[in-house]
Amino acid sequence: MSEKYNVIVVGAGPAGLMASVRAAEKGLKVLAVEKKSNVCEQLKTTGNSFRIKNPINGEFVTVETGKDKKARVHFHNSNFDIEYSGKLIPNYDSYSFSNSGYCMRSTRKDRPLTCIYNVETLFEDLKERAERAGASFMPGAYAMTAENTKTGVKLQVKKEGKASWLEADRVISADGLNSRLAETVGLNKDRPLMIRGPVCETAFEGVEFPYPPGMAFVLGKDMLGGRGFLFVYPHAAGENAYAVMVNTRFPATEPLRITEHFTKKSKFAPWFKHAKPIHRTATVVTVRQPAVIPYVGNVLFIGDAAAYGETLVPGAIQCGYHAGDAVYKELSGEKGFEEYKDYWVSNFEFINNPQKQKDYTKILRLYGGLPDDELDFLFKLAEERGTIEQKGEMNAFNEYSGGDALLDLFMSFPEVKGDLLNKLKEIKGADQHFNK
Amino acid sequence: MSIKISKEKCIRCGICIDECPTGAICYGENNITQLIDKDCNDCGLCIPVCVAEAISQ
Repeated sequence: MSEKYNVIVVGAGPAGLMASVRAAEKGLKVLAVEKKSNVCEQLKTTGNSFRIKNPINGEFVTVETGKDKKARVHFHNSNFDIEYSGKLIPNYDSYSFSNSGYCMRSTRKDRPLTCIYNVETLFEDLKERAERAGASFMPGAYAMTAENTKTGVKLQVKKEGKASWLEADRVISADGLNSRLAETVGLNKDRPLMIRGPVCETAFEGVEFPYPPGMAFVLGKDMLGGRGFLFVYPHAAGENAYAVMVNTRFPATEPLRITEHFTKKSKFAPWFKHAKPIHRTATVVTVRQPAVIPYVGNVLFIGDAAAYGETLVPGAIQCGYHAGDAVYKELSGEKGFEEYKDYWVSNFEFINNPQKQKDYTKILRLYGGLPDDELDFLFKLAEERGTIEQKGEMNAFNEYSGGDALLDLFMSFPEVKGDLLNKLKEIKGADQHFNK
Repeated sequence: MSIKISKEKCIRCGICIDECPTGAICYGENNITQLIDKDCNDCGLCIPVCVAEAISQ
């Protein structure tokens, strides 16, 4: 006896959980399949912050704490809410450190820049909401491939080595950055691979971070003991908990080797003198060209599975919400997948927009391209000028716009001239017209 | 099969699960990674992607 579902959602990360919530709340019969047996345990490195009023991917969020101590995260343009019942850490500051420890600091006084949440609690809240709306979950089930039929989809899942087939009218594939279905169903056919790199995150308890809590980005060969990007940020799963996250090149052992060096040998090792590791996650960042048409027949790909790199957690939740609607429309005889495609292409920054993809890499080229002593020089000038206070209604500093803002800041210093200035101009964009 | 995943070193991140061409690695109870011998072709692609050096041949 096999059950037939209206929609099977593959993957119970933020995109899949939100899709399950939305589809179930629209009255559809939903099955969510997830390869983990403990569905909400966080094992992959995942974003853990909501950036307040920071427009990205055509959307921005606000966070309000209600009388019942639950937080309500409001997605403004899509006009929907999610509830979050866990620990929330507001951050009013953010930091960048160069190799010798010079600090560029950004702050906001009237509201937090970001709010840190507990990832597992966020997942649990969404899962409970999906179940309350009637969605079923199948844990320990790994979706391997799908076959489109005239009216629906047949989905093959593997549970502890045994394969079986499930049936649904539609499938939403939300299986992430290294999506199995994107390979086997053919979404990756015209998506060249751009770059891959290992990431490892270690959460420590008992960290003595000598500043008000906020995300710290750390650069430099002496700081890291290697090449890569290192982040230190508050973590909601412990007391005085901060995570160290390293994104670097292969071999895969590099992120942990760099973490060891940073926490035991670098200038900032004293922060970790009494720290104990409490949680570890990892992933491989795989960046492919995005899927402009994010569906193959009756299988819709959402979130990181179809993205240029990542959609970030709020972006994944946006995708899930609109995907739930898309399947509902499909089953009402409308072209829901096409409407989803229009939403995807017009809102997600990196689709169909080579300039945005270039903008995304500006920070990488600035921080990865300039030698440590030149970055020390720039950061020292910024530090001398004091903390940057953010005041606008919207915070515009993120991966896509941050590169330009930083380059403009550095180029505005009269001490920056000659070869260094030319390097900065080149990174800003040789094909762009500007005056200095 | 010669591929072995060390339970002590494994952090259960699942990178190897995504990487395996035949889906021979899966999550068992409590998200412990398990190698399904009959599906393993011994290619060793899982070994270099493990951040914790938990897989050996």
